Amino acid sequence: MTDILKSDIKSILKGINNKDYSIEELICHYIKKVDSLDKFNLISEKIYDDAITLAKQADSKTMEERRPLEGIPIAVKDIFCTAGNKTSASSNILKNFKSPYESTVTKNLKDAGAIVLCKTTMDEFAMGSASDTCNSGHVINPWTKDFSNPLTPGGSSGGSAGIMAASGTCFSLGTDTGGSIRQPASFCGVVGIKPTYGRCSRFGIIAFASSLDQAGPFTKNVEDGALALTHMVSYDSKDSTSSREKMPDLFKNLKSGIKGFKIGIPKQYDINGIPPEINDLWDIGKKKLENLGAEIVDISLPHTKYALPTYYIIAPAEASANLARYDGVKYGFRSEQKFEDLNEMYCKTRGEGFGKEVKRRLLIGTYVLSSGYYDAYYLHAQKVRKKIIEDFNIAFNQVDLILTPTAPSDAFVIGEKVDNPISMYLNDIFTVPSSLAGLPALSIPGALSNNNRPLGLQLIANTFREDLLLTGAYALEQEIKFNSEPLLGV
Amino acid sequence: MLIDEKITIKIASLAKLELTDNEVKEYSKDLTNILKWMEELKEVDVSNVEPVTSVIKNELHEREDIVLDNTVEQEKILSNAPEKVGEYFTVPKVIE
Repeated sequence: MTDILKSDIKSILKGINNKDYSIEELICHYIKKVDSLDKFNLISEKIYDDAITLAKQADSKTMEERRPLEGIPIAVKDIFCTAGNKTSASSNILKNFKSPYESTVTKNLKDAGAIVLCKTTMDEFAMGSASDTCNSGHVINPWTKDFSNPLTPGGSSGGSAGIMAASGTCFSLGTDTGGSIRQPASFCGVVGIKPTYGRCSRFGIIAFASSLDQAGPFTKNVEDGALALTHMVSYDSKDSTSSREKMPDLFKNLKSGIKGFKIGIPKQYDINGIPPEINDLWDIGKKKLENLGAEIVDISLPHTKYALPTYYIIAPAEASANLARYDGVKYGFRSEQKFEDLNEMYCKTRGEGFGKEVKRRLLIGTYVLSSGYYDAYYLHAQKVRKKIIEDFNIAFNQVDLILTPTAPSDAFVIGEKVDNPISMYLNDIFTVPSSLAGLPALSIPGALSNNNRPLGLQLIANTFREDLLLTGAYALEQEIKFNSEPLLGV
Repeated sequence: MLIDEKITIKIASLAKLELTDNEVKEYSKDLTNILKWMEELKEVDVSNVEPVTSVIKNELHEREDIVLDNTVEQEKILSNAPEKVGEYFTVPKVIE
């Protein structure tokens, strides 16, 4: 059964249908795999008992009763509320919180037959780019060879990206606010997709920055990504920004190739100080797309350099509003110190319950929203954001897709960037602009770096054109033929 | 320094965060650097630009004000409370 871990979802479903193995056998096989990954700190909670019960129920179903993802094991970032399980967003302030309800995205997947094996560790409240702000310690990239200098899986969805790299589940869920799916996908050598803002319901996803947060899958390959995404998205009346736009059939033209596609290369993404191997990979990507019959078009996104500072005003501002709910009253952690009054209880609870980076962002957000500074920072940033969106609108009048590197480096050693928040924020330099514009984007593995670590390429499409995005990614994936895998420390 | 310790203490109190003296020092430095980094946004001419309110063309939809999900039990919700008495969440005394 060892080969199953390398198989795509379609083959696994076929194996179940052919009775090559039962769903229970499949689930137990994956559980064994997940248990072997403890040293990477990818998992925040294992949900094996429920998974085995569900597997037994699934096995007893007739062929006709089986749903499209029946028995497929998945891992879920600990930012999705899953009913009856601990859901803490890797924060002490939500330690021991058991969600009484289910997020819409996980409900959709469970309704399609997927089985949740575990919740995965992440940067606290998804604030980070290295999965090193998690309350259970840093998460380790399965590509690490030297455990005295462990590599980051990227962040914030580091646990979910890592478990895919290690073939611990068939797919996993992440959320992406400024790059939190795509950057870890790049660092871990897997596919990571962020759909258009509004495609996946945000109901039941612990909020970070509500105008940016989107759920998406990590998968082994693009075809699995199309399948996972198809079963995640829905219009949801419980999320007022949920989109009613119909999702195009992602499989219809998935394999029809990209002959005649116009692919934009934004000159502003050629940034000083980026390692040459990143630009080399970008060139390889361009050439492969040309080989496939696409036309490369130079485009300009003139406001690109303003995207990061814009993001670091808007995202912390929204976070400071969203995280106001953690007050130690109705759920989560309450400080055990003595209090004179309610205000002191709030301040002590929040001061102790939140970690360093979260507090830093709450302070930034509170400052930029505070009286006298709102216009100069927050309102100004929302106007610059408009300029960034207009850049993309102009570009997508000329091209079908945009190609860029995903991240400005390969996976770095944990602890390398902790002393300088801005150098950590630069990790998202290529992913933040499309987030600010709400565009669908993904990362696919492109090559190994000089250090033998994965490097990703990013494709960006116009809003609601996930079909073009995946067709482009599928074609490029076939041409790149990335087939390296982590050694998992053995 | 753009953000001195007095300002950091004021922002922290607005954000309802109790900080240690060391944290106040460190965050004052961090916030100063981060806000300096944001200064470059001032180069962008945004006259006559409307601020973004939504990234996709989407009207905020309304729905009937009815209960959609009444399956969540009160007991389950109360079980997450750090302190409770009977059916109530409890907090330190507010009124003398």
